[in-house]
Amino acid sequence: MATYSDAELLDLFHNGGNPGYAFNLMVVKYREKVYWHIRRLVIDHEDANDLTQDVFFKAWKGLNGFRADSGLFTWLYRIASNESLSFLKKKKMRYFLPWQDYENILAERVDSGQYLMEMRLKKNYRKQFCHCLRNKGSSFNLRYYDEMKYEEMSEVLDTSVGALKASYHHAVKKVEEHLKNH
Amino acid sequence: MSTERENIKKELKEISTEIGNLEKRNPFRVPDDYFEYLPHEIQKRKRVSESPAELWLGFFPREMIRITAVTLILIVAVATGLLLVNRHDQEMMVTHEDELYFEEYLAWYSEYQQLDFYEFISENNFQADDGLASEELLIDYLIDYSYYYQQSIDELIED
Repeated sequence: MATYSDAELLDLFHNGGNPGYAFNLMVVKYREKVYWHIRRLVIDHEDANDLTQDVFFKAWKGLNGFRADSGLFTWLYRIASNESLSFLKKKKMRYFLPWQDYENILAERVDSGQYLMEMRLKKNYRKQFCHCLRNKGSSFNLRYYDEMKYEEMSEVLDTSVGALKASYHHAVKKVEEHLKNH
Repeated sequence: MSTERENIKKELKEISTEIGNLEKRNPFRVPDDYFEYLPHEIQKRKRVSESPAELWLGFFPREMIRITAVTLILIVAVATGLLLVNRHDQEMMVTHEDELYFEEYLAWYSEYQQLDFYEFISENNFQADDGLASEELLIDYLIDYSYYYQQSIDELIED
């Protein structure tokens, strides 16, 4: 399957006569990035699967009104971030627990997760995760795992580039500190 | 992206040499062929959402639909309860058939046990407006009286 640029995909969606096909191409192009972005936030595969479907479904409904002020990829990430954070808030309310306790629940799930592969990165990840939750964003994930530019991250998280650089620096230092202690 | 990747690696090493030298690996796995099936799952969901019922319900937030459904169930439950109670009340009300029964009873009673009957009326100080116990007033009186004491007319008179 040929890889289309965002502009080509949007053109195909609006003028190609078959928006469903263009949308499917978009799903194929971004499925993994969107899924992994969500998975790193919510940890659980089933939750990440549901949320990924929600994100693409919302994208399908909103694609007609998408003005292409930002990249398609950035737009999808923003929807994914919002959906994930909103999901985590709801889940936290369901447990009636403070953030710290909920972080521990998720951290335990990482510990016993059937998909777990590597101990060192797992511990590393737990710390990053807690950091991300506290900051209501995922600057570390977007930069470290998704290799996003600060400008794109700024659009996704609606934060200034300077603040994101500081946040990323802080997160890396925290992870380093954590690795030294464990 | 590869230039950005190099920038990120360089930046990471500047912040932390240890983390910059770590091999980047994903700590999670997904079920086999998950990403192959994902577009089909999304298409399936899209098709379901475009069905007429879903389109109609799609105008309302899910929470509103849930609250409406619960409210409707409660209304139906309360209405059913009231209906059952009403039916019980209706069973307790005097019907035309009851009146006929009392009329027949009165006819029989006045024919065969007139003394007892007149005794009962005088004991209860029953008087019609014109000073005479008319048949219709007597029937009403007996019906009310028997319902009030939850007794049959025989039991009332015997008491």
